[in-house]
Amino acid sequence: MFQEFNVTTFAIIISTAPTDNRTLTALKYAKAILAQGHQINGVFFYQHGVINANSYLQTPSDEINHLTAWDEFHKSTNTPMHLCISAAERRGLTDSNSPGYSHNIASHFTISGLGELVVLTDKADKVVQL
Amino acid sequence: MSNNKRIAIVNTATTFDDFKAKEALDLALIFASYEVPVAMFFMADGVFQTIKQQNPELLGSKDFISTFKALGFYDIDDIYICLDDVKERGLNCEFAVDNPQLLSRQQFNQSLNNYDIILTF
Amino acid sequence: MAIEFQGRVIETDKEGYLTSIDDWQPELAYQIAELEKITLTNDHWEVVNFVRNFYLTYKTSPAIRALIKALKTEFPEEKANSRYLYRLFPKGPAKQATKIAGLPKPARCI
Repeated sequence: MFQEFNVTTFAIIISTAPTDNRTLTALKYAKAILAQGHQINGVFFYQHGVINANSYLQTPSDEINHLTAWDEFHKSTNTPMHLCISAAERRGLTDSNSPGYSHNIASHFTISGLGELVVLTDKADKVVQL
Repeated sequence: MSNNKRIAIVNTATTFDDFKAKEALDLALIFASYEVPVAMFFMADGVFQTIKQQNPELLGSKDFISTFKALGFYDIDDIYICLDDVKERGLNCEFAVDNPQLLSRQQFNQSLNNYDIILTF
Repeated sequence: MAIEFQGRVIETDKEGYLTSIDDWQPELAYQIAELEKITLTNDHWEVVNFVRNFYLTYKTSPAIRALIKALKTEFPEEKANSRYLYRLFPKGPAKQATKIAGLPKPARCI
């Protein structure tokens, strides 16, 4: 007997900084979704979640490095990771290299706006905000 | 948007708690400008956002509370406030939003059931 | 960045939006409009003044749909539609009208 399996498409919203334990929970949750055979159409970083994209983040070697953890997740799963640029700019991130600025957004993030979140939520079966 | 999911933005934080209120409002306005049905819910300490006669500019803060009066132009007409939470906090019923629906905690929870996606701030 | 206006230096951001809304005055609007390659007519002024009042009342620059809906409360249908507004402000009514009205840049997410 084959058991019927419905694949669910998730959109994930990350609202917390790397210093918040919920961020790691979110990453584990995202991995678990994919391991169960479901899909993620995108991870959207909003509010303090945008800090996860700061390429200058440094972590003591005996703690989890969120920058590399998200990078590995992105590379191993090809999941699009979107950054709300307005929320990011407020928190010191920039994609600009004009005088006085230095591009500091990690390359595994796609620079997006809230409009992208509207599209993701429209196309997803379930939206989970952490 | 094609699927027309209904979005509830649930506000649980006071006006200047960690920028949550402003980023919730920004998100609501974006969903609305893509013609997605959006409702604003205010509960717990979030009810503080809705009270009249706040003066953020006295604090040197951006007055985004005034934007609540423009929600109608964005077709955000469903604004729900948990009346039990208003009373618990000793606030009076003068609001900074137009035509809010004042609901008991039970009605508030029931209304949330009508939405496909609930985002909490 | 900055604009020179009547012998004074008016500060702007890198895209030419005034840094302070209080620096604005009608004469300055002509100069900002010129930089946008727009010659202000009465039709432009109706929208510029409307957008500025909208901002002063609601503390936000309206997105295009909200702008149209709000315009409908004061203007007839032929002046409250997107085609009309784009004819006046070809690079986007929200972007250009707010800039000429001395308001902050609309959020990049919008």
